[in-house]
Amino acid sequence: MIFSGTVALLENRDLGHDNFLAVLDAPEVGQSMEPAQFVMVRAGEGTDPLLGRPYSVARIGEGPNGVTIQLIYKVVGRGTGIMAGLRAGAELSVVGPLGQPFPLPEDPQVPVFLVAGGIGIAPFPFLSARLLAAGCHPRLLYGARSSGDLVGRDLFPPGIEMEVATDDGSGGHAGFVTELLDRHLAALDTRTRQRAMAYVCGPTPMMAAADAVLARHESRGHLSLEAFMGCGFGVCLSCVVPLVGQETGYARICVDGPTFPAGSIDWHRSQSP
Amino acid sequence: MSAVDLTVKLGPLTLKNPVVTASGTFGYGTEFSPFLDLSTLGGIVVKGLSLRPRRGNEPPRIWETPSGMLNAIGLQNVGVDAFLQEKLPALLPFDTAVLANVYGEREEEYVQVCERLDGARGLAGIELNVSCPNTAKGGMEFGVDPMMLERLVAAVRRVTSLPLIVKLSPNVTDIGEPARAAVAGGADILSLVNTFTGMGIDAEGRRPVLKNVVGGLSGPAIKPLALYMVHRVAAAVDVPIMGMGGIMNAVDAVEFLLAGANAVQIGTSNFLNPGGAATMVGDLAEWCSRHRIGEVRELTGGLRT
Repeated sequence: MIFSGTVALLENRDLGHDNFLAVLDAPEVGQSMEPAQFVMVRAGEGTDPLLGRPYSVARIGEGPNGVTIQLIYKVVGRGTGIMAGLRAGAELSVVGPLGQPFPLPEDPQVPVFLVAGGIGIAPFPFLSARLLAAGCHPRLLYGARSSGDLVGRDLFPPGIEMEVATDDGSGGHAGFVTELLDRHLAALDTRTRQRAMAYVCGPTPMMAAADAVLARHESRGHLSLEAFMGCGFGVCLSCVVPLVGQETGYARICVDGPTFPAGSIDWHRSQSP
Repeated sequence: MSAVDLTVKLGPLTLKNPVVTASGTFGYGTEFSPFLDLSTLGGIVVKGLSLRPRRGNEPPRIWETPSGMLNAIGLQNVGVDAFLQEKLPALLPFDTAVLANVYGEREEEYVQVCERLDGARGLAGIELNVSCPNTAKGGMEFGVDPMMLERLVAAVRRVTSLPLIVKLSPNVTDIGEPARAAVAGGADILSLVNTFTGMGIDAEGRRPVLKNVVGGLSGPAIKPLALYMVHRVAAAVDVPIMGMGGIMNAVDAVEFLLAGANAVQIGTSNFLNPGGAATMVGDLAEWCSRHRIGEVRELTGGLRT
């Protein structure tokens, strides 16, 4: 069942650099939520802005009425701007859970990499908790423009190894996070490399680059895409992406994704204008 | 307090209530099963169907505007055959009027699609889309030329005995003209309005925000324009009307009925409030009850001027 209704904002924490953590009292959403699934949230009164915005769920927490859902987000436009201005007690319209989750590896012994770019960190604390519970040992590779943008690391469960990369060299590896992934995969023997699993979420150029790294090493992976969405449940047909070998059509990011297997996105055809 | 009679009769089409979901905003119906009981709705108009499947336009296909949205989907759809084989049978268990929206690039394509739909089990009617602003050929071409429109409607009328709705484009100088042409061609019902042609521009990038450059504007932003057009068409022709354009709640629906509509279609609202159409049915009954209206059809054209 998909919840559609109003929930209360319990906390809206400023993480710095325009990033926030919103905690929502949404037990009906959270109880069946899986990593990389998302919710459509409408913040504010009236009809402007009109449409909901998709938010990935970073963590499921404990709340007064059962579980909470916790959203990490960056202010990028009006919808997120209004969201950031809300205080505890505000009411939000929420639809979810929506979308296809990240599938967990069948074999917990394979190397698992979580590759995050910027606010693409959002689904990974939740995924890490599920991976640890399944006996996996994930390693987080986290890239951002600058060290101040590396938010949300304190949301991860203990026991996650982390490495960071920054474009400006202010923290960790000076360069792209995909270079860290490349280095790790190159260090594995062929058989291990082909069984390794990467989960990727970030800006489009970073995901295209990560997809190319995975293809070169013949490693497996899943990418979580983001897009502006009209509805979030497959009917407005706005958030479409072309898939390899599907020259006659498009996949919908909201219901066919947001997670797609590595190697399945036709990056050439999906180039923005 | 006696129950309000919500049934409405639109020529050959009887609906259990006047709340119908609009084409292009409600998928093929079952996508909304998690959110509402489809049997509460007066009717469902499915996504526009063409003879062959269509992949639609390249993204970006959507842009939000103040109290509205622009879309240029380009009629991505499964095609009429897949609709008949897979989508329509899934709607049989529900007690609601299923209406098929039909699109063609040429007159023959409209006719061929309607021939296939005629007699399909579980189909209550056909709505002709002669008003899509987002395709290179067909669609709005028919809707803005009264002579072409009359000929198209007459051609379709010959191949189906199903209730025939013609969905009018607002992108004309006087919507009374295509309204009269559609009726002359044999339309049983008119639905209006489809989206207004519009565009958005990204000043920084000096680019249109939609890959298709132009799109159709919908949502509360267009409601006053749509109300006027319903009012205008109600004065111009004698056939029943389905009114639409930015309806978000039962009071909006009442406004369209007062303007002259016999039923309403709910569009953009379905995206942000997926259970909303069903809520509106109950709210409409409650509104009527509160205003001592025993039959919702009393509202139609009940504007005091």
